[in-house]
Amino acid sequence: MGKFFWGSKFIRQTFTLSLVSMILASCVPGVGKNVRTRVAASTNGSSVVGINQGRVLLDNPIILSKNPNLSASEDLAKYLSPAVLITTNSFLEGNENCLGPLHCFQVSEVSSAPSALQTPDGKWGFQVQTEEFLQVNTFYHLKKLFDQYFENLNLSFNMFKPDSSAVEGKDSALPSAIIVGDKYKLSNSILNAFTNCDEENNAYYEQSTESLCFGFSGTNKKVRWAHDSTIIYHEAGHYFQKVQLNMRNYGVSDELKKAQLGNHMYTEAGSLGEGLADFYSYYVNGRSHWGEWAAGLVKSSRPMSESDTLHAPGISTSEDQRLSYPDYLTYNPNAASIPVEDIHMSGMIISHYLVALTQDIETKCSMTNKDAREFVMYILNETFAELGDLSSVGTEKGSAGKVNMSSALATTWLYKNNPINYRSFTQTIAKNLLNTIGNPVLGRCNGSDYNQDYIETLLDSYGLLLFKSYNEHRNLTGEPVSTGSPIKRSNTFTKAINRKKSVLIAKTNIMLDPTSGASSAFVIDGKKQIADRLATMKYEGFPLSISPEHEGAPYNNGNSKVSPGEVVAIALNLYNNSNSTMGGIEVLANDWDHADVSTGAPCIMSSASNATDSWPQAAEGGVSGGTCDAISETTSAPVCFVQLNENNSTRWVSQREFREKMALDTNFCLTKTPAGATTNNDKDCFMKAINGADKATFSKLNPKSNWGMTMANPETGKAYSYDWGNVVMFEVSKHIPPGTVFDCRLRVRFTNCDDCFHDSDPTRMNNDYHDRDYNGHKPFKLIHLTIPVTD
Amino acid sequence: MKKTILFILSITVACGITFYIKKNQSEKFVDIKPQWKTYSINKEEKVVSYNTTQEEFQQARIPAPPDLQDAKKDRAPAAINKFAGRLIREKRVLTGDVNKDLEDEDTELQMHNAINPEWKDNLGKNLIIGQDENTKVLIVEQTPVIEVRDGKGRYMEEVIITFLKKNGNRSSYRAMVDSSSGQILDTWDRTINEQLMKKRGGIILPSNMPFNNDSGIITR
Repeated sequence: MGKFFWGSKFIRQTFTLSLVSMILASCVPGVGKNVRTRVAASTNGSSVVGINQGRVLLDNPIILSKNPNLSASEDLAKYLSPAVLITTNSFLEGNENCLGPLHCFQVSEVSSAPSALQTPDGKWGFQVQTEEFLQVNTFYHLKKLFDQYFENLNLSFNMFKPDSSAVEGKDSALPSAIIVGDKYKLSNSILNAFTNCDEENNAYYEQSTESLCFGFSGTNKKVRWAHDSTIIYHEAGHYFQKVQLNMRNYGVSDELKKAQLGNHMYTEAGSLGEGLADFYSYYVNGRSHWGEWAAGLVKSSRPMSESDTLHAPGISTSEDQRLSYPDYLTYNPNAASIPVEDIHMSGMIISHYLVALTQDIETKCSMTNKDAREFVMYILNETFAELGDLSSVGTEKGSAGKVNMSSALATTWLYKNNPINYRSFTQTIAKNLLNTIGNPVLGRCNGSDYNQDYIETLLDSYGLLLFKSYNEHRNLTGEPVSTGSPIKRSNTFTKAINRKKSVLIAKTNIMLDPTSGASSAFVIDGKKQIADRLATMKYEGFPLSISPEHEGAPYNNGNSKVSPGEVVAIALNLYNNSNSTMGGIEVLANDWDHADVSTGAPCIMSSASNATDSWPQAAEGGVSGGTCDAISETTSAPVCFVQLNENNSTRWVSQREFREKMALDTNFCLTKTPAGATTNNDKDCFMKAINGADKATFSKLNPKSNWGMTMANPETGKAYSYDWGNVVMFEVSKHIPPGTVFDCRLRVRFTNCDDCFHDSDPTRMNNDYHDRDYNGHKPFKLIHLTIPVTD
Repeated sequence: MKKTILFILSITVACGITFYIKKNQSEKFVDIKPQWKTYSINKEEKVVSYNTTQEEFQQARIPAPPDLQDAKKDRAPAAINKFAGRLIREKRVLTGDVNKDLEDEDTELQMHNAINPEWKDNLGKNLIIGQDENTKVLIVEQTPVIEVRDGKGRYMEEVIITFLKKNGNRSSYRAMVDSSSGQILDTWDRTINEQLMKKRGGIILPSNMPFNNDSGIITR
């Protein structure tokens, strides 16, 4: 019996073990059948690495070879690391800290690959020339960054951020709601990295499908961007910026939309995005230079410290020789004498500042460089999370309307009315430093604090002390600290004595070129040129709104004048009349609150209300009082009014009133009124700024110079032509009679402007304007275009 | 006997609860049928559309959907319920000024627009018009939406739009589209390119700056 029982038990155990083995085996995909499987090559193959291991390029080949002139044809196998752990997974799938997807990222050669790369034998050794090696190399560096970033999030949430007792204004923007166990709700999708993209001098981050793509350098398709770890960190840095910027946008009612930094044109938000992506490379490797191999071979690598030998003479880490704003916005270290308007170049100011901040904290707080980098990344987490909040709450103890106006209007404010720029970004960084490492009570700087003077002195050395208050409470400034309390929320002010290098310029100094004989505005109306631009705007993802009859610009005549039926671009010849450089100049042609709500008549912006146009006179149709006296965030009128000639008078009127006088059917307006609508869409019946092209941006204007003089190549004395980001575009109705005159009241500001951001009203005491004010005139210089329509 | 009755009663109650939960779940299900569609202009200069091909997916570097992936059958991607916790009405995600009551379709919600089954084709046509020959526009649905503002709703569609140029250039972004007109209301998630050595100055002007012209524009 016992013997039989023993035998039965043995059979049962054997059967059970076999069954378990079969089940487990079925979970592992078949190796031999998978098209991604390839036998590892000999020099970096199975014979030289252990299970789960591979050999990689630990840094880029220039650094590993210690040869700045390394040939593009060099055998990179010489620089491979000893065997290192790649992953214990069967596929190149990494990091399990993302809530939702099983893993945060995966790597394959191309998008059509059936899966992430699979190991043929449990090992990851491949010859350096193979596509498999590029995937393993990319995976290794992505995993390094992902692991480090999630460790940072753990530190950010559990060690660095202010505790729950902190009051609004000193509280954190990091939302505890995104943490579930050891996972973080940061994205709904897995990030895909493709290492073999046929892209010359390019790598990209495609946000819509969450993928990274790495191309090659110059015309040599063997020089692959995925061989350069700093490039991998930079591209992934764009992904993490999106994560950071949208941390507060999950679990809110508008979570489908995501905030992003900038667009295809030159913007300071885009500049910050590129500079910060460079900083991600420093964050991982502690080395203040980006892209020596892949970008360096085409003379496009970028430094992140003034101590870098690539820099032009006169730049150093001395306080007065930093890469300062706005003078260095157009500086290219690879061709220092030729100015260029490019977000990768203008972004170097923020990357240099962040590296200098890391080193300053390291020194003053006796931290290791690694610890200082982690702390600065925490500051970036806080800063992005607050600035990108589309729900408008901003911080954990904030409330609706604290940032980005409101949830309904957040994207309009974030991209047009009050976008992220060098001023708002560094002001928020400064606030977060002050609330944490700058708080002496917390003693986080080696038992002491990284004090306000340290914060302001370093910012000033970069020309970035552009704000007078830390704006801790943003739109809640001046409100009671609690219901019924007589104590109002007030902000900390910067010390004027610390502003030595940063220059604030009065907005009156931006104007149209006063030089005798110089035109102030130029009309671009060539048919093909405009048609191509409209097509490109659709391609690039601008939310273009144009009447169907104007597709292809069929009425454009190319006579450099505004004619009925045309789509035109208008370039302003702006001029800086001050003795200091202006940075981040923006021209806004979007709708704003400058008309009476009931009649649509233009409001007179009197000098008493801090504007300078005093237009139009009452006899010319201008009105004051009523809705003109207060700025509303929800009321807006088109920028262009029309001149109406009546028997005894000439008045400026709304386009609606002009249409009514013409008795033109609303079906002939530029914007059609949908059937059944209760109100007519005729407010911009005849001339409409095109959504997506209603804002122009210029990097900088030198003292007493226009943009052409600022951007001139010193060797030729000429600048390259305007780019499409430098113009605003209008659609003109074909039903407008020739001879009609429009007046378009544009708003202009710049980043280092004194009175574009600080409200000098005695009740506001140089606090920042409320978001609502950016729908009005006060923070801007008003510039008029009086446009005759000629046939 | 008593036990039998209790047993039957328990089973009935359990079945009832299960049915209610299932019914409730099915009512709150987001109706999403993503279908990649390609729009282009043919030799007769007419807009044509068809289901996106495997070759186009490869050119656009988009992982093809499962029915076009022979080799991927071994490994289905992990399912992610991206609508978990969202408010749903008419099998669409509610966004904007929303509250739980709006999930109940008996709660009145005035709408600005009606759903036009042709919205996607209208969008595709609008995007392809004016593009170079051989340019293709690929569109796929992501989320059907009702956005509520100031007490009124608007049907919208979240989509991904990808452009493919003849020279291999490509661009992609997400957009919110009006379900009636197919007009793009907002875009985000645009592709970020490094593009070293990029050419500057895209506007051709007749003369160098400072400009001299006779546009007639007077400025103040």
